[in-house]
Amino acid sequence: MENVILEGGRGRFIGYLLALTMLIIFLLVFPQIASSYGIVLVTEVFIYAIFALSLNLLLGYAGLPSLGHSAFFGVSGYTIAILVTKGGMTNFWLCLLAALLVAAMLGFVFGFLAIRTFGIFFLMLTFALAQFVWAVIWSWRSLTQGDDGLPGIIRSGLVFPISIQSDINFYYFVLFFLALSMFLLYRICHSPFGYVLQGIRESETRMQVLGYHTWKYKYVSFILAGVFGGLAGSLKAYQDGFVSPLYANVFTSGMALLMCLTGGTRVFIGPAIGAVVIWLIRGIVSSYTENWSLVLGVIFIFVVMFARHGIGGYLIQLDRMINRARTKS
Amino acid sequence: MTPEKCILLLSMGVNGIALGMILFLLAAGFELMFGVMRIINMAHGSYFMVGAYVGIFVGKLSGIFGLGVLAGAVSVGVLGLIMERFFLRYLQDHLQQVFLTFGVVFILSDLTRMIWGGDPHGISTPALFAGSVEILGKPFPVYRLILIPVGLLVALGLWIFQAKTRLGAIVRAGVDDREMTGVIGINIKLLSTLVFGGGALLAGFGGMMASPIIAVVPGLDWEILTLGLVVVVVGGLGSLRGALVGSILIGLADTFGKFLFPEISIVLIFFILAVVLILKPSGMFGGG
Amino acid sequence: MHALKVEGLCKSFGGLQAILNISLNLRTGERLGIIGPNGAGKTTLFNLFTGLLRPDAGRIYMFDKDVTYTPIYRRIQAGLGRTFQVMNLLSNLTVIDNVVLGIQALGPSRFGMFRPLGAYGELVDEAKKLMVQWGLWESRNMLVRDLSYGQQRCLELIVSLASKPRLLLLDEPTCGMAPTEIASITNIIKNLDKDIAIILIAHDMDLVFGLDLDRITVLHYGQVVATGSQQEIKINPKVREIYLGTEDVNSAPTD
Repeated sequence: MENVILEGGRGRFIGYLLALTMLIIFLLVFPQIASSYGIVLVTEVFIYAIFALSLNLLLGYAGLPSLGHSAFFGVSGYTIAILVTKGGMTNFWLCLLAALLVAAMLGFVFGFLAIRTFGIFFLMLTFALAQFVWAVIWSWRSLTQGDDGLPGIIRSGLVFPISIQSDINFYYFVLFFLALSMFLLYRICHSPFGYVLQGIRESETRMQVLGYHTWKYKYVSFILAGVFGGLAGSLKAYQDGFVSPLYANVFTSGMALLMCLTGGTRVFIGPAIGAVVIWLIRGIVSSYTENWSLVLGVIFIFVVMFARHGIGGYLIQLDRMINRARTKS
Repeated sequence: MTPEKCILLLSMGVNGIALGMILFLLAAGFELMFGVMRIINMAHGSYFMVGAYVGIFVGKLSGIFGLGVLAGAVSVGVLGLIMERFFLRYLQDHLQQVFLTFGVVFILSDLTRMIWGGDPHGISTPALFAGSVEILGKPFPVYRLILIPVGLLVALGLWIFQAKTRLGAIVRAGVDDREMTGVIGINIKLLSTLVFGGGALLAGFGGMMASPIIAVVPGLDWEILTLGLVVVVVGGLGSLRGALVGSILIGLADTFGKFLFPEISIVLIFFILAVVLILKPSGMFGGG
Repeated sequence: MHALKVEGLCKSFGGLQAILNISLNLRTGERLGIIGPNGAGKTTLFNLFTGLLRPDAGRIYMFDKDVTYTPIYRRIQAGLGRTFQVMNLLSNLTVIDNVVLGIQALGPSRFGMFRPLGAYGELVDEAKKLMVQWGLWESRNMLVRDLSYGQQRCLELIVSLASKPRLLLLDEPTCGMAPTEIASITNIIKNLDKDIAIILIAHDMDLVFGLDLDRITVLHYGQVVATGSQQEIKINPKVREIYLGTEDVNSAPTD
């Protein structure tokens, strides 16, 4: 892991800080120079970055491979959709709060069932639970209109003093949430709680024998990951203007998983990088063919066979080389 | 309880057990792969679906149902062999293997859609088993009745193989100690490949056998995989007996569920899953 | 008060009776060695004490509290510590990560979610003290998986001390180590706080006798065969038979 408790090595962060600043400036300026298609695309990248980062709390940090993350995405998205289109609620913050609460409750219930298992069993179970959510969404037509989806989600006119109706404003809005999520998740991952999760990933037995009630940690992380996943789903609902069962489809879980794997699960920023890469590839591919699923599967196999630590793995190596070079000079 | 209700229950029971037999074919192959190689093959549902598609294609083309069954089973068996030999073998981490099989699902899902389109495919029941037979004054479809002994025969065959034959003992030994098995001269690599191919073959066989009574559409892969995983978790991972009992249970649950709550029949199945998980997380016959 | 009291402990796996009717007492600060041939059930016994396994019958008391069915983390809170024969370290984390996690386990900060771990000065200071004391400070930023086997074994022992246990279970702490490394581990164990009760599983007779333990218990096929002082065990004919009979030539106790 790239984290070192002591002496993070302030010096070597100067270079990274510079790069980071440039990136932030670029992201802030981007909507002014890009096409509307580009703005929408990048906004979606932000949303999936949040989604992938939330999954990585489970996958990369706690070592819990969840194939069911789409359940949170879908449940929150539909909560927003139902509240806005059927309930007529226009207050963005109230809707969001409701959606996050629903996601938390889902995590509460599912986590209780799923955390009883671990490793491969956990994977199967989260998959089955997510399929359950998908099936409910798909068949409960009176509530969700099933396969047709729920269109007509309008972004409420006023959020603070700014309207998020326009794509450009919504872009900045989502960017704000991305920054907030990254900040919160970063703090959580590098806190005692986060390190305990990593310890559980390495050896749950050892952590138990050190005196940690590991079950509690896994359960809480599951709920937390679910809430952030729900945040992503909520934002996507506002972004698209409609929801469909695809939100809760295992395909969405698979994409998030691939984003984590491609970007690297062992680096905090990995999943975000993976989100950029995968979503951009999707953007390119879907202009040529509609067989995105096929391409996704091929990338999956490629990454698993040849690049198991993802881009993040290479970044860590790069970082070590830089560090070595610096300490020599 | 009127006689009509009795017969209705009986007929639903038969349907449920028939479905259970199909699920068993799926689950048995899955258990085989897991038992020997500790691999969770997420593509197992896809194998099932591909077996159905290929089998239907060949069956319709030749007019012989049996040929379709053979084609379905063999084609998927070969697919499994290829996947193990050229991909899974090179991954040691079980999680990585699962991820790989997960990726395969996406590929197969699109491929089948590209080749056969999005409309439901099906095939009529083979002439030999078409029609119905009268039991207690109510017609029972012969095909579904036939599925029951077919499934039980496969179960028996697998049990004999595992418990009684030398090869079966080797397969079991492969579970317990891979190194020792290698040391006493058994080619564990070949064994793994064959077992994986065999499990895939079972899935393809199951898929084709199911095609007269199940709609073969895109999405079947995930659907049947879900049922299969529930069966395996409920029955207990690693137990053939568990797979059989679990399949019958889930088959019945699905059939009765669709009757009782036509909109959300899946609720009953997950209720069973939840109960089992709370009471005995390792499944009914699972070992710890 | 007894640090550990065990009565009639039984455990079987399927048809195999791994532990049969074992009872023992350990006073505070007492040092007990458990020896016996492979498969005698020593590690199984430890797993029962720790809580990784549930006994089929019998009772376990730790510091006069019944912990027979208590979850693992509660036993640790009651004062238990343990090392493993097959090492259970957090290999992809650094040395200091491992130690800090060990120290923090029973402390109030262990659920903290917002401040970075490095900001908890007291934890880091305590880790530093422990690591400097046992010579691990220089390698604090190395990943555990990059350490040598001997260093990992040493770390395994240190980490188990981090929670300040009053009852320490050491499962083959020198397994597979070179003689010089064994000497340093022996040193560490000898210099442990006199208040800590210790049970040591070992195969290496030199280690067992070199540590000057208060008592030694011999296990065979899951049962206690003999128990007594070092001298008594050395001359016990049953014990010699067990060891000479299993061709464990190097381990046979000699005068």
